[in-house]
Amino acid sequence: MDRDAFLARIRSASASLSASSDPGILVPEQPPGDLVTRFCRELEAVDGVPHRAVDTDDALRIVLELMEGHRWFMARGPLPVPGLAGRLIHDGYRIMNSDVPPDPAARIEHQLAYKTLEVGITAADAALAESGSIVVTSGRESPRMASLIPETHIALVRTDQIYPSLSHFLAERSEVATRSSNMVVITGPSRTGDIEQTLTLGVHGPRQVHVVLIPFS
Amino acid sequence: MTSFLERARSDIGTPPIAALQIGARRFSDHRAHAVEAFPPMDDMRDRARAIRLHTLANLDRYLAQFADALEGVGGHVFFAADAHEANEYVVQLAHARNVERIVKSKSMLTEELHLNDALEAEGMEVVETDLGELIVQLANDRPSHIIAPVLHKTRFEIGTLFEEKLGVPYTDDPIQLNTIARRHLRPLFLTADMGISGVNIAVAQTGSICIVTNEGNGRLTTTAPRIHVAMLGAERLVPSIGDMSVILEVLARSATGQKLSVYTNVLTGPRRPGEPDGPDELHVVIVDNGRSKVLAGPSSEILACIRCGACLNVCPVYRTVGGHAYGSTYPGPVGSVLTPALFDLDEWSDLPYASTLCGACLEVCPVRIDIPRLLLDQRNLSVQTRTGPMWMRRPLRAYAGAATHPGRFRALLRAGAVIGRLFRTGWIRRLPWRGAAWTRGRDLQAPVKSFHRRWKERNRGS
Ligand code: SF4
Repeated sequence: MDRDAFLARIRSASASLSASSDPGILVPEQPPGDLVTRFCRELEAVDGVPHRAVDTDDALRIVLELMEGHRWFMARGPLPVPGLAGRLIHDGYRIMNSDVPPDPAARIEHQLAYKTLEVGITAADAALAESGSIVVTSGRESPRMASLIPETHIALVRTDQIYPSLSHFLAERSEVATRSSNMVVITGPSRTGDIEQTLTLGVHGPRQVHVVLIPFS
Repeated sequence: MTSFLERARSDIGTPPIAALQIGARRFSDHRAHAVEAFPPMDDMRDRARAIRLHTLANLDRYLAQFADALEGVGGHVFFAADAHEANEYVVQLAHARNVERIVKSKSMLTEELHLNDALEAEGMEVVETDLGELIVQLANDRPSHIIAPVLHKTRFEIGTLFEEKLGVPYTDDPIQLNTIARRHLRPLFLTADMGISGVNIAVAQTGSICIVTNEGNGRLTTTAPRIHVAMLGAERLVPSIGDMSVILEVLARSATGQKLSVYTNVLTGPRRPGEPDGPDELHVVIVDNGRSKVLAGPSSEILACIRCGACLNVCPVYRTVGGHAYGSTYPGPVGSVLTPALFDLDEWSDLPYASTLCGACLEVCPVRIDIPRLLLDQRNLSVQTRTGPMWMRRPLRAYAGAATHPGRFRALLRAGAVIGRLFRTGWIRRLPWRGAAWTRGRDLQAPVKSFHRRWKERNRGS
């Protein structure tokens, strides 16, 4: 249907509804308490694993430990731990190319290689204390697949990037939602209860979600 | 077509209904806990309702704004008047782009449109990727719940199904069944040409669409294939990103008792220059298919629905008869209003009666839709226009005759109480003569005490 005709039909249908003004947003009040502690508790409640690093060196050590036993990883761009990807490659880990080619057949071939990918390492733009969530945007520096395809996702976030809740974050930083084609709020590992409501982790997305918190200095 | 009663009668008391009952009860317990742990819930519900009603009253303006914004970031928008136009657009697009394999994440709208049938008729392979929807597809079944499609299936049935259809050794362990599904679907995701999704919330100001899933299939469907097609019911907009967050605060809590679903995925246009992955094309199909009719009618409030499923989980009728008895895409209280309003009151005239009007749905609805009132309105309309079922019209007229005369009403109740004592169970399964039509559809609770007496007792504070 032509756009104008479609909209005209909707317009006349809604004519009898009282046109109230835009109510605007409402940011719920949050319980008091230290954001880092609350975030860690809530992340554990959704089966994620928080790691509190004392500094960036400690964060590097934590990531190296989590990488043990794996081989293929995906990481890109500036991470809050400088030199992380270089160090992993130096230690013999293999980095997966995350640039999807434009040609349809080449794209499929490229993506099939993802089946061997074990770990994705990304920065997070924010963490949300109330729900134990992390906010990850795709962009030049951060492929969507890194937090989606591997069995293990490691997210790095600075403690000054923790917000009380999704509402607080979007009220203050709504531009993050649209500055790239994709923003995802991740709350723990992939899960389903579809079969007799038995909780099962890692349906399509990662089975393990590690969040490494790095103090802001 | 069979009636609600016929469909319900053949399902009641079967193992699938028992499974569904446990599931629905568990969902509503989880919801209750989540709401209790979130003191601002009531205020957020009021705000969510106000946002949705405001959007509906200005829907044409917000749709135009959404389309402009989405085109501004490189997305394509198609306005579909009905199912035929919507399906035709997707079929033509798939042909034009040489699409062979399509992966789908869960979407009630595509079920309403029968989009899978339209694509399969053209020789395309369509794979459902939500674990529940995959099971429904393999079993050639229909979903019984709007967010948990196989609430009615036991692990044993699913184990047998996977053994038969996927050629794997039998297991009824949900974790192993899940691993089987993951292995089966992973290569299909990575090699699909097109991904089709629904939309939970569309944001007018930015042209963004928000898709909420727990499994991650929604993200894979909208990331791996080179073309993403999102099917959007025309009513499901909010003005801004902030408004979206208000809806998200109440959506998962009402649906599953989670604070947020695992993946709250916000997409604004296709992959941009320099981005390593994501689809090259994004098409959003905005579907009317009866929605403008609902908007103009007495049930317009139902379009504020955010499809959380809470009203199903608490409904005593849904819990007893299951999702299939409703006969349409949308079961439960929301479906009993939406189906006759969207399609045809004549054809679906028995659905508004598939309710006890107990009010549990209104109690839990995150946008406070007054479903009991909407059901009564529809009953009223169907009786007035004589489309209502005959078994309902006669007793209603008789009841109206009595109820408008207090003396006759009390006499009727006294008679009822006498009859009630004759039935040990307190339930009257079959009334004689004129009343037979009424009890064909329901068991009548015998009034042990008259309402008059109970009212007096209550006011004495006993
Ligand atoms: S009517 Fe209300 S409770 Fe029912 S699905 Fe819609 S939003 Fe949820």
